[in-house]
Formats: sequence, C-alpha cells, structure tokens
Amino acid sequence: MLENIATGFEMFFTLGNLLAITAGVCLGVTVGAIPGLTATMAVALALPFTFNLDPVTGILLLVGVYKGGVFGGSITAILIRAPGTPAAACTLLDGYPLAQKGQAGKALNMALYASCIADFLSNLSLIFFASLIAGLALAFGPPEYFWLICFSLTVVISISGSSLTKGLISGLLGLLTSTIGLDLVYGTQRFTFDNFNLMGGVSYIPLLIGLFALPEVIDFYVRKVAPFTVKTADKSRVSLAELKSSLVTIIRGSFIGVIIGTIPGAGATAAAFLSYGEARRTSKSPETFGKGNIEGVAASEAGNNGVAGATLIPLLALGIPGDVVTAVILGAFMLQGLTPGPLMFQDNITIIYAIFIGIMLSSVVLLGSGKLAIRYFARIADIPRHILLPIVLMFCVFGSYAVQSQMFDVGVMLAFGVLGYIMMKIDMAAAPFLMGFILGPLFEDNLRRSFLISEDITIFFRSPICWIFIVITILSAFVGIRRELRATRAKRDALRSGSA
Amino acid sequence: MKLNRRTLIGAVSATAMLAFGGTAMAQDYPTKRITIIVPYSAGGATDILARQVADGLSQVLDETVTVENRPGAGATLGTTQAANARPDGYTLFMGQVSSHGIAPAVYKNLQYDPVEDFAPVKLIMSIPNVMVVNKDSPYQTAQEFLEAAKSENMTFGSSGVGSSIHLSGEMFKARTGADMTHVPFRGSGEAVPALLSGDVDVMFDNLPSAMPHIQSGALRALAVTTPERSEQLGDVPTLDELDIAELDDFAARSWFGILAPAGTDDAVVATLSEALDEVITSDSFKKFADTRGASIEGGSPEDFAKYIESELSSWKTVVDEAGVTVE
Amino acid sequence: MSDTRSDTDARRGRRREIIFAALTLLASAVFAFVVIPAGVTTPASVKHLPLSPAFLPYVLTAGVGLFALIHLLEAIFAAHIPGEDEASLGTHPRWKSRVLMLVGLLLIYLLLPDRLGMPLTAMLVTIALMAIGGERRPLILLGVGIGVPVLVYLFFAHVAQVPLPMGLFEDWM
Repeated sequence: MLENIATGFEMFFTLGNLLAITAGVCLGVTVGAIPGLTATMAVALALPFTFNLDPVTGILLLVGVYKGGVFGGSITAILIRAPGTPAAACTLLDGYPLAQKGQAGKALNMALYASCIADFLSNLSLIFFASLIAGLALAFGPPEYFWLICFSLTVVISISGSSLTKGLISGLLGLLTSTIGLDLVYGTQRFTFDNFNLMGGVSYIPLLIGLFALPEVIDFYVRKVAPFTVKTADKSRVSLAELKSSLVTIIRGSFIGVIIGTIPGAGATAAAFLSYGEARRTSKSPETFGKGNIEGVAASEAGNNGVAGATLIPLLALGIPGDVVTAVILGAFMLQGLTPGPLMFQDNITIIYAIFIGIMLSSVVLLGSGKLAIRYFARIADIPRHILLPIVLMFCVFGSYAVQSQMFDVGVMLAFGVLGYIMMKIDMAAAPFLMGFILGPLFEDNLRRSFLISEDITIFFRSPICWIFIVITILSAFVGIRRELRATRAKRDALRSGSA
Repeated sequence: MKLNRRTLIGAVSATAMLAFGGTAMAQDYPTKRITIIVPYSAGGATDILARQVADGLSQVLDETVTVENRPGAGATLGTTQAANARPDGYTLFMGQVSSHGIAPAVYKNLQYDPVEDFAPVKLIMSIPNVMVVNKDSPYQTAQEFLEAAKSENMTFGSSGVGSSIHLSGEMFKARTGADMTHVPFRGSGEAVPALLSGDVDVMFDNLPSAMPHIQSGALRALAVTTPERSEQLGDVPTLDELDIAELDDFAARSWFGILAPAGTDDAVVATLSEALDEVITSDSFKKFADTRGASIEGGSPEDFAKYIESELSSWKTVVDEAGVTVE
Repeated sequence: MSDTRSDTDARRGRRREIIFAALTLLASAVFAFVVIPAGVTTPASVKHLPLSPAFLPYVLTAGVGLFALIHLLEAIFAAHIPGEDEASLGTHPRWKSRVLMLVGLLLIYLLLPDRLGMPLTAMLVTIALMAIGGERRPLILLGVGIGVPVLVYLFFAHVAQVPLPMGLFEDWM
C-alpha cells in the first residue's frame, strides 16, 4: 500500500501535472464565470487536449476545469446576479444583496473559502471513504430517489421570501414548467403545441439567466434612480470571526454535498439549496437570509463544491458517471485505455493514487487562482451600472444562444426575463421556481418509474432509506411551515401594536 | 414565415458570396473551419466519438474541425438543423442509428427526410447491443430468461423512448411474446445503476456502457443482438444463434457515421471520405474503438447510403411490430 | 409618515394581493380546463393514473389553485403586511416610453441576429442602451459599444468554440 502511494507520488510530481491542474482550474474559473458557459461545457472543450496527454495529466486537467467551473459560476452570481452555472443560483440569494451593500469582496472571498474547504472535505471523503459510501449510489432506486426529491422540495418553504403562499405557487409553477416537452414514458407531447424547439423541454440555462439576471437589467431602466451607487475600491474582506461562525455551516454543507454527490443524478444545484435551507433553518436570525447574510453564501457554495469531489466516488468505485461532467471524464479514462470501476483499483492502483494526490492539490490551486480571479473580476462592481448592464444583457443573449446554438433559446431567456421581472414586482421569490424546475423531472420520473417497476404501492416504503426520507420530509415540511406561520404572526402583532 | 426567412438568408448569403468571392471551390477545400453537428449534449457516446473524429480529421485536413452540440427532442432537433445547413462541406453531421434509423420510424411529424436531406459520407463504426442481467439474477442464459418472462412480468431499462436500447427490448418482447415492462431512464448512465441494483431485470444496453460492468462481473451478458458475435465477448452467443425460432435473424445495433447536407459537392464528399478513411484506420482510432467494444466500419459513400436505407426499413419493421410511435 | 398615509398604502397593498390571487386562481382554472386537455396527449394504454402524462400537470395546477385560494382568503381577512418593495424607489418619470424602448431593443436581440449577425446586433443594442442610461461621451459609447461585443464575440467563437450567427457577414469571416 505504502509502496503504491510512493509510486503514485512519483507519477504525480511532474511539471506537466502541476501545469495541467493550474491551467485547468484557471480555464474552469473563467468559463464558469460566464453566464451560459457551464462547467460541463468547459470540460467538453478541454477533452480533445487530453487525447495526446499522459492519462494522469489528462484526467487532472479535466478535474481542474470541473472544480474551477463550479466555483467560477458564483463570481457573476454575486456581482451581477447572473449565475454562471446553475448551482450558483443559490449563491446569488445572499451574494447579490451583499454586493448591493458594497460588500462584493467579502461575498466573493467567503464563496471562495467555502468552496475550497468543501472541495477539500469532498476530496478527503473520495479518498478515504470511496469504497464505503459508493454503495449508497446503488441503494438509491426510483422510490428512494422519489423521497429524496420530496425532501429537497421542502427547501422551497425556506426560500419563499416574504410570502409562503406565493413561494409555494412559484415552486409549483417551476414544476409545471418542467413538464413541457416530450413525455418520458410515452413520448407524447406535453405543452409543446407542435413547436419543435420545445420537444426537448425548456432548456434550463436560458431559463436561469432570464429569471435572475434579466429582471435587474429591466428594473434599471424602469426605476427612477440607479438601484445602487457603486462603492469603488471595495475593500471588504471576510473577518476571522465571520469565517469561524460560518465554519459549522460550511462543514455541514460539505457533507450534504458529499452525500448528494455520491448519489448519481441528484446534482450540485439540489445540494446547494439543501445546504442553504439547513443553514437558514438552524440560524438564529433566519429573517436575514436572502437579504445579504454571509452564511447564506457560505452554505450554498459549500453545498455545491462538496459535490465536486464526491461525484468521482461512484465513477471511480463503480464505474457509474453521476452527471454529465463525470460522463465526459469517464470518456477520457476510456480513451486512455483505463476503465474506472473496481477493476481499476486492482490493476492501476498507482494511477489512482497519482490522481488522488493531484485532486487534493487542486483545492489549493483553486484557492490561489480563485484569489487572483476575484481580484480582477471584482472590478466589475466598479463599472458604472449604465455601462455594465448593457454588457450583462449581451452576455445573457450570447450565453443563451451558446447552449444549443439556437435563437429560440434567446427567446426563452427573454420570456423568462419578463416573467422574472413580473415576479420581482409582485414580490414572488424566483428561487422556488428554479428549484421546482430543476427537481421536477427527477420527481416525476422516479414517481412513474417506481410505478413501472412495481404495480404495488408498497414499493414506496420498501427500504429504511425510504422511511428515513419520509420522516425527514414530513418533519422538515411541518417545522418549516410552522416557523413561517409564526414569523407572519409576529409581524402582524408588531404591526397591530405599532398602529394602535 | 420560416421558409421565407431561410430563402431570404440564402439569397443574402448568395449575394454576399458573389461579392466577397468566398465560394467554396472543391479543389481547395477546406479553406476554413469545419463544424460537426452532434445532436446530443457534450459528454455522451456520440459526442466523444465526434470529438475523436474531429481531432483526427483536423490533423488529416490541416484545418480546424470543431464539434457543435445541438441536443434536444431525441436527436431530431440537431438533425433538423444539420439538414438545413448550407451544403458547402463546412457543416457536417454525426449521424447515428437514432437520427437515420429509428427516429424516422418512431416520430410521426419529423422535420427532416433522412434520405433526401443528407449526402452520406462514411459509416464510421458500429457497436452491438448486449442483453445483460444483474450478476445475482437467477437466469444464466437467454433461454432461461425467456422461459421466466413468459410466466411473470419482467422490467427492462433503457436510455429513453426511441433509443436503440429501448427498441431492442421492444423487438425482443414483440418477437417472443414475453411479458416485459419498459422502464425509461434519461441516458444509459442512469439506467445501468438501476440494473446493477436489481431495480430492473434486464437491459439491452450498448456494449460500451455495459462492458466495464461485464468485465468486473457486476453484470452478466446473456447474448449480443448483432448477427455476429462480438470480438470483445467471444463466448457470448448472438440472439440469432440461440435455439429460439422467434429470435432468428434478430439484428439490432448502434452505428455512427458522418453525413453532409444534401447538395454538397461530390468532390467535397470524396475529399472528406478519403480523409475519414485515413482517420479511422489510424492506430489511435483503432485503440479508441477497441476500448469501447466497437467495430470500425468504413466503406464508400454509396455503401453508407445503402446501409441507411436498409436500417430505415428494418427499424420500421420493428416499430410496426412493437407498436411504438410518438406523436 | 402619518397614519392615514400608511393606511392607504396598506389598502392598496391588500388590493394588489387580492387581484394577484384572483388572477392566479382564474389562470389555474383556465389551465386545468383548457390548456391541459389541449396540450397534453394521453395515450389510451395508460395502466395507472400516476403514469399518465397529464397526472402531474393536473396535480400541480390544483396545487396552484389551492394556494391562490388560501392567499386570497388571507389577503381579504388577515391584516396586510407591507412587503419591502412597496417602500422602495418609485418608477422613472418617463417609464412608459423607456419600457417601450427596452421592449424594442429586446426584440431586436431576438429578431435581428439571423440577418445582421450577432456582433453587429450587440453593438447596436449596447450603444442604444448606454445612451438611454445617460451616457453621452462618444468615446465611451463607441469604444465600449463596439470593442466589448467584438472581444466577447472572439472569445465565444475561438475560445469557447461557439460560432455565433453572423448573418450577412457569414462569408466574410
């Protein structure tokens, strides 16, 4: 074993590998930061470069791009409310209000620290517990998935904003939007009305950009005064005390990320929102979430970066890719003549160790290049709004087009932009809509798959995992609703005593 | 409206071509970047193959070749766009069994004609589908499975409605009269774990995605769906050679090939065909195909055109037999 | 801030909530009785209710209707809680003409790239938006309005390998 690790070290420590990780992370951060260009796209772009590289170098390049991309998405989410990647949508809930208060630097740094810590913990669990928790990936059949998604949906209660009923309506509308397209089981049309572009469903990157970034642009032109005066030379930093108080949140978020990452298909977005919901639930001042609470940024970034290392667990241990990115990485392994899975641990253990060492190092590289990126990207906040917003709009259009090279998606982005603006005006939170839209297909698919596998309804109660999630779903919904109702009553009481 | 706009763009670009003299002459083809449209998202089997081909092609032609992903509507969206692309040889299409075999039989209102709208260039490679069960499954052979499936309900997983994995299962079901329920997933990546955990009983997966699990022993291969045995799985019988009358001549496989929009200059097609020959006979491509259990095909553009016609008619038969259609 | 003023604010806010809830309720009814039957094709072979493609849309629409009803009752009978937005900045004095201009520019982004190409469209809209936003310096207008779209275009086309539509400049590149 030690011998293998030593050989792994030897294999890893080459200039090429160090360069590959650094270049990968930097490319990932840049591409991830641009709305519409996702971590997945960045990894696919880097793939051809790995054809002629040594296996370890090639894989590390891709892993670097992936990790950089996951963090990069948060930069524009915080600065201009345009999430670079879907998972960063949660980060903007508190990151953007912080930027509006002139604390963009603080939000960005917290996002980076939370990302790096979560990434590191995620890598540790990959290395030490891979074989232990890989089994989790197979323990989740359709019914278990169904309950996991039900539990995730209860987070909608926490992110509903000022009105619970409106938040729930928003979430339901998101779920409803996710049903557009060809039906999974029968292949029949749902709400496509023979429009060919809708057959594959509403693509979620244009929806995401439209829903969050565009309303800010529209609002700027309709309001009387610019919504926030720019604080130049933003010197806000994360204090040690803030980091310390967020540490529990970060660690909890990381573990949520690791668990969600290990289960194939659940994804970073769900992890980010779950972690955020948990942070708000356990917070002493939940009402400050959504208005610029630094812990909110820490929670969501920890959640989504916690996924990054863990998605490699089912890939390396079982040969199952958990998402599109790991599918590309699987492809890269196969191109190199390596097959991830139990056999690789027997035959190519030194390569695995070399990759592990590189992955551990990638957290450190992420910290360094993230710092650098923040320094330059943070200047975006110094650009006057009337110049910045037209450019933001341009990125929204280019980015939406880039997803499928289609003008139709630009239309989708604009349509959801208008919807987002209306929602903003009637005080309806947009985050539940996104949550519903992303979890909708998982919810419905697994519900229907369970029915296909067994005609008996008892399949939904077949395992301890089902029961665990049933219990925490009910608890979470009950506690969440009770808390929101209490908060509303408290507000009413305050109002009454104020006017009396 | 749509047509008008396209004609307008065509007219404008034709004028522009005359004005700027950028006409693609077959002799000096290629002079600018070539794009291969892939109707699936980045990272899938088709995408990875396309990137491999693009990489090889750019070395042979000494011109940048890029991959453009246009996913959606079960590959039909990207295919439609490729069909409408300008036939100048700078937009190519990564065709596969779905776009040029199954979809025309399954979808009622398809927006492209797989034969009229395309000029086939080269059949690149094909992969067998393999009938796999979980290692703990009681069935050791396809016969045993079939016996059981006649008396009790079985579930078969697939990567989605209208995929070759789904239709291989439907074909098996329709031929043998087995009682099988289709459980669709979104991609093989989601379906294989369900097979590994025993949530679905059987799957007619593409060999590359099942291969690692067959090698590690987690899945048991019962049969391959091609007429010949696979090189990588020499001891696994074909469905055809089994002693089951209903399964004689059972043939279902996935294939990939490069096509150009119809109207592309013959000389350009010939240039591309030669270049692709060089790509697919290279050592790196052979290694690529080997690792995924694929066989390299090749042949002339005419061979490919004939192959597509035969695929279209055979999938049509399957779809009619199985009664699968999509509105 | 006098009591009467906050009273009218509260009344206005309450009326707004009632209108919103009533409209949502109406929309969910229209959806359930018109849009779903027209938009969802249900095959005849559906074995279980939850397997039907129309099952979830109906459940969700019912949910929307239910919550809209709750919201309506709450708005009518419970005391109104002012949202944060109501106290915020007012609209621009000429907001109507600005909305029209904005809609026009967004439509340009949707309709023109196929003909003019994405970079040129982006330049036009960016310059126009900056001018509407109050920028008067020609150097900034033209420098940013032309330079940034070109740079971003080059990044998309050559680094990210996304060929944006070029319209009539297609053969020029």
